Amino acid sequence: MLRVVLIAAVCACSLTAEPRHMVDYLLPRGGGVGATVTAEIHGSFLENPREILFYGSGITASDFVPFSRPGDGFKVKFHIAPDCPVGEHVLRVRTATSLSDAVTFWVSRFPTEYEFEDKPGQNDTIATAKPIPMNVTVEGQILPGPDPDIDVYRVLARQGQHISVEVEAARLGTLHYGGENDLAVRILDQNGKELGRDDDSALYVQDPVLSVIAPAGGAYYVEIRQQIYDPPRMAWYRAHIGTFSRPTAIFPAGGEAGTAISARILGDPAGERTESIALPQATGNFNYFGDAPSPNVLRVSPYPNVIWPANNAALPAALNGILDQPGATHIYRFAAKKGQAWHVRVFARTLGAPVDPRIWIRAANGGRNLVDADDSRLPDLGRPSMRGTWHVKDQEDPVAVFHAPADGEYLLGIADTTGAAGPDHVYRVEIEPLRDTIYTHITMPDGYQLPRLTGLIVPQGNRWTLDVQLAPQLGNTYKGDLELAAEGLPKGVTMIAPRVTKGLLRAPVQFAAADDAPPAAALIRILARPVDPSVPLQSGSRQAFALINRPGELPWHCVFLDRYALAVVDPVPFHVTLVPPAVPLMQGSDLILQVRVEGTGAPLEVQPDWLPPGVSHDPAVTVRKEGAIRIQANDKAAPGVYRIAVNASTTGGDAYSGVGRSRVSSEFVELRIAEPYLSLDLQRTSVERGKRGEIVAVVKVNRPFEGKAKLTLRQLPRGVRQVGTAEIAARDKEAVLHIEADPDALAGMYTGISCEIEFQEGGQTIRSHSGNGALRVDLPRSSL
Amino acid sequence: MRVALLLLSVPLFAAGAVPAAPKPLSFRLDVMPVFFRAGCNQGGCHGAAAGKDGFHLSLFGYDPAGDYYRLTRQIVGRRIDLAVPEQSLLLLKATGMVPHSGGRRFQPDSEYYRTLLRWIREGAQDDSAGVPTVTGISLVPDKLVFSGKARRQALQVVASYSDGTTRSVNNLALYLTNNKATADIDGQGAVTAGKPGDTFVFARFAKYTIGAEVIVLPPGRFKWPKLAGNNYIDGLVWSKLQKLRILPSPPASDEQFLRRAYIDIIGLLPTPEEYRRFMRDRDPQKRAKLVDALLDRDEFNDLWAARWSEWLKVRSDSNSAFGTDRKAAAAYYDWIRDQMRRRTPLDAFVKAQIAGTGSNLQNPPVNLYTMLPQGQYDPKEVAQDVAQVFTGMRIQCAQCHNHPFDRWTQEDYYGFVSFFTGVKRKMASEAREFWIYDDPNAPPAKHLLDGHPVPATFLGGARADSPGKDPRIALAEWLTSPDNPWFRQNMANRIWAQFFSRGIVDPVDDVRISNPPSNRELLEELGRRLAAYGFDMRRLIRDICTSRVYQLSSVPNDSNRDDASQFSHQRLRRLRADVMLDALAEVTATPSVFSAMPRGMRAVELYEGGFRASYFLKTFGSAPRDSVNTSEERFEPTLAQALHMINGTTIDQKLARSTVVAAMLQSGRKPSDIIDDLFIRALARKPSETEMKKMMELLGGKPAEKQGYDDVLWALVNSTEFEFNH
Repeated sequence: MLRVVLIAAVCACSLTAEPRHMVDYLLPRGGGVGATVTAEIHGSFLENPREILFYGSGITASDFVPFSRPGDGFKVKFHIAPDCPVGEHVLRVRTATSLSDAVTFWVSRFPTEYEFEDKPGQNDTIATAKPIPMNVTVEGQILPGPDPDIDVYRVLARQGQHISVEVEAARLGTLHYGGENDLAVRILDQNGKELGRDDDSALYVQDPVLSVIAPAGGAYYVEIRQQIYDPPRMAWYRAHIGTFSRPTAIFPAGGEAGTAISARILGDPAGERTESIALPQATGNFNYFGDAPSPNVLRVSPYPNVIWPANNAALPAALNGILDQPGATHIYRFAAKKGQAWHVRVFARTLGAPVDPRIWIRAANGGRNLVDADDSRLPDLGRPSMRGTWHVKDQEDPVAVFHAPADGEYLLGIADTTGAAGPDHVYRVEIEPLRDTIYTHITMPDGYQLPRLTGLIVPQGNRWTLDVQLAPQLGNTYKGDLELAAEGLPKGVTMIAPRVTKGLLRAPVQFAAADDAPPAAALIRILARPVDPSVPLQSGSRQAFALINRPGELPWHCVFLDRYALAVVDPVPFHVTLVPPAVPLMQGSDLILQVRVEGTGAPLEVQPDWLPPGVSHDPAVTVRKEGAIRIQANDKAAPGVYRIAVNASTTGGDAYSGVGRSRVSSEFVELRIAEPYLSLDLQRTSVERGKRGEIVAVVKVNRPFEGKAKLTLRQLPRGVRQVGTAEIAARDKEAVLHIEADPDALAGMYTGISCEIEFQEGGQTIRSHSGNGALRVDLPRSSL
Repeated sequence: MRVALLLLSVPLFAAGAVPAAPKPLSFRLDVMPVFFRAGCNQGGCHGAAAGKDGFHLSLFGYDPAGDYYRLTRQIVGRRIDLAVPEQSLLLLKATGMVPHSGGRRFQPDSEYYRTLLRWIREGAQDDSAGVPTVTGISLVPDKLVFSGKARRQALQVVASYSDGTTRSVNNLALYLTNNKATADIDGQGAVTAGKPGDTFVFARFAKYTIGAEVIVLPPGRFKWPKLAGNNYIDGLVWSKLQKLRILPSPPASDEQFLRRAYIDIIGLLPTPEEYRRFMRDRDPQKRAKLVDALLDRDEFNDLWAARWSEWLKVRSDSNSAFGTDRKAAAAYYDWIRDQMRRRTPLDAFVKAQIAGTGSNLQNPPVNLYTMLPQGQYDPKEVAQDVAQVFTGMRIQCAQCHNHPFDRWTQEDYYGFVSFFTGVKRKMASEAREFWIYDDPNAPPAKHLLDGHPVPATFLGGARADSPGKDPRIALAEWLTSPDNPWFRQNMANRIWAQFFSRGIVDPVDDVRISNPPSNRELLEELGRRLAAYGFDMRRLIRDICTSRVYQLSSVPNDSNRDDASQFSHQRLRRLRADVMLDALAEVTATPSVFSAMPRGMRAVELYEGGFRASYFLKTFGSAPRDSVNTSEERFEPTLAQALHMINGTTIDQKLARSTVVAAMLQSGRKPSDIIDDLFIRALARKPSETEMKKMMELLGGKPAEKQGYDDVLWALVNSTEFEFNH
């Protein structure tokens, strides 16, 4: 029998454009309060770790022990204070030369139990379940491989006791890229009978929560597995397992600052209960824990509640209700005066309630909807968005500004978009006066953390330029000039921030570290201030980064921060200087910038840091001592004086992310963008095939200039060329440009003909373009 | 009874009362039918979307007002010449007197010519308001039986009008036949018998199509034997066969039945143990017992989950921007399989999908509205797919024009689309999750012709009275009502086709007047039974599988050799791609491995189907799930299949990894026992003496070595018998 064996060669190359990170991941993924955890930080360029910068309080780090390959990472002890806030902690690593990207570490109120499974099958069934005490946090892993790993834990419960599970998995964001870790949980009795299951939750999106009441005393089993098999990749989880009550919602979901609310605790399998919750004076989010491992988020407002079915509200007010009837719409009535502007924001899904709310506002006496709002955009919620490529559950909640068109009574209706209802479908609508607000953002192109742009890593005696984005918030009416101010700068660091002129939404600031500024990391804010300090304007700093980024998809976990991290690091042996340009950059022209570097003579990549809108630059140039960078302004670049700088970076590491590189900026220099010296109006004309003709350019001089400018026609049709050269001086009213058409030039009408104008100024040739002429190429008269 | 009617010439007056003086001709009643009959307004001619040679007529005449305008007003004086009617371009072109791409459509002395000329002479008037419309047509007789070849019989086509009149329209109707070899029909409606068989001829007039069954009996004497029947199915099939003078094949053997039932009901081969147990069983009811046992197997649910997932296009896209993430596909599939496990009645199963609202991850049946579109939501496409999957009817033709071979008009089409115009989708808490809901304030679909809104209307039925409500709820109720013959018969037909690889209407998703059931009584009874069973598909499957019809041999006799539609014998049916791969895995005891799927998953369990998951499955015709068409699943043989079976990696690797033979050798079994076992594993039968002899030769005198047995196994799985259910 003939058998032919074919060998298929499979190339399993993976060509993802994954940006590199200093810290790839951190293990373990968390620890319990009061514990000391030896953490492993894995990544690249992690030699000489000096400091762990935590964004929150309660954790300190010590005892850095490098891996055998120091660049790959190190071990470090995390000391978690007994009063450390539980939940997600964001941290960065400062090394001698750099500041890493941010990663997260999770703190639990419970002690940690580690799974310790080497290969699938060790604790995959009731028979092999790992016994654990109640009220612990299990840190485990869905092991990689083709055999689905199931983790089963055995707990003992008394009759009537809660058996509650809350899983942190997707939220852990263990990897920057990939590593989708979508887990499901079941609780089984000792016969394998399922008492409950959960996959996703309104509270924590991909992460499940589950709570049951033990029907009898004895052993119960918590099963954790992937909801659908997906090849696991660093699929770590932290599962809080215990006897705690895990409410799915609290009603009302907030109250007036400094008061106590009588709150209905909803979603507990033991039934609803009422508790008195004292609210703090500070307004905003308030985490109510009860005895759960994660909080229910409540809102604290400087105005009172209206509790449905009461539906008359005196603004400002917070409207609270539960959409417990399918298809129900709750309608509230309030009075407003003409010209008032109210900020209306719904909190439902934001707080973890399973509601997809939409609202409308209309006059009580009828008419069309004045507000009709469903989902919101991240910027409407005061958060940065990577060009719409991020999405969080909070965006299901509408936000709107209501401008009252007249004195009168108005109605606000709220309903679930899909008509869904339930006992924990809690909502809260906060209606408060609109306040002008402009946040500053640090933007990360593509959604990834890029130290190259947002690292704020300032070598001693050097500078770093940061591109700051200004984000006027929904309904903002302040349109004037702004000053940028810094809060929390470390010792020896100053911020140089040119005034931001009206209309600009991006501006450069520089951080300069003194020679003796101590190496340290700090969390700072950059705030927008109106030039007139008497004008009220709210501001804040907003940065975000995404974890579990997915190819072509929305990331799974976004972390939002209200401070920026800045580090002073060891000095680098080079400085860069940008020579102030002697001449302005004209609209529609280009300019050569001269740069000088002082250093070891090693090659450095130099490029502009920030350029005004409408100005672009050529790719980075490699410079050892001196170099030139060409920048170009388009016709729309706004005339004015701007501060620009260039940066110089070492050439190792990763160019795109900036990981593994040292980078410094020049001092600011002034760049003036000006109108062009002249503009040309190219007169319509014609030329016959095989003949010569003229194009007359009517000259309009905007600014006087020295010497002569050379004119060269561009975009002439095929077969037509300029003959000779044309030059003009500032006093000329018009110029004549000679052209010649070949015998076979294509006949027809051609538009878009322009003129390149060359000036010699400041030792360089400056080119600009002007004119939009039309030329008709005619057939020879003899042929007609 | 046969009724002989005279053919009348056009124009024809109302049959009820002949007026004293001739009325002027009607544009709609007299002129438009000429364009239809002469083929002027066909899709390849002036009925094309852009018209032809500068002149456009509405396709099959769905827009008489537009056609009137184009004839008389678009270029005044050109197409219609009122001064010299004979010089009208309309007439010159149609009779080929001037160059015409369509050639001569009729002669100057024809009735069609006279009709057009007279209409022009009468001023080429448009109809006044209230002109009667055609309300239906009938064929007389509606059933013809020929006792021999070349015999002829004329059909009479009678149109009924909204004013209560009727007229014969034989000259104006179009005719077609489903099988020219059995029955041909000419341009006047005369049928000529051909070779023996059963087929349908059709007449179309205005927007109506109607068919007549034609039976051509074979020559010679015929005696119907006394045949037992297990249930009503046998009686209905026997009855039809008796009419056609076709004798059914004898019953299949126990071995054949065993393998057939396993493959059809659970998509697996019987194991050697199951084979022996069944063969040992002497209970006369053992076949019915086996059917019951198989219907209780979980693999039954897997097979039907795969079937439904194909029909519903369950697959994820490469990105989840439209709610078609892998998780959504898995959730939908899991839900479908769970419904099969729970024995959810088909009406409830369909209702939950049609009227679903909520998150596509939390309430998976709403994925009907993510998976059918597989991208941007278009209510028209969803309406078409819903009609095709759940009623078997394709209404898409009526989007642009009235359906040429069915009853559906554009009004029907847009009325049905309006059930879905309010469906909204938007991203929920995360990228993979979408909300699906209805906006009851959304406007209905607009008619293509004049943009008038067409409220939600049941197909061929009443308007859904659901202002301010989700109209899909009413649709789901109407669709799945036991009284709705389309749904119950479509479901019954799809179930039937699983066991015969052919529907009673075939293909099962092309139900139309011009594609009638091959045994209407059988289909109607199956539909009624399914509804009476509370849409419990298992009960109907039990009826089917315990019938003698299902259990007939696949070997034909002289009388049924040519029968392909009356179920007089079983068909040789190639295994589905996934069933075949699972059978290979089963025979060799080597589970298949699929990319990004856990080890141990069977091909039939691939929730996104096998087309994208496996070269083998794609090559053997797994449905790509790009459309709801059942024709997506391919069964025709290809060279690639043959080469892959002979030389490909699938069998080679499975044989290399298989420990089946090694285990039997290790247990000291005799070579002939091992070969017996391999035959049973692959073919559910023991080898014949000749086969055993040849197989023993293959061992090459080395009965203790695995290689020879691997060769035997290789030969078995490469046999036609293995690849086919028979």
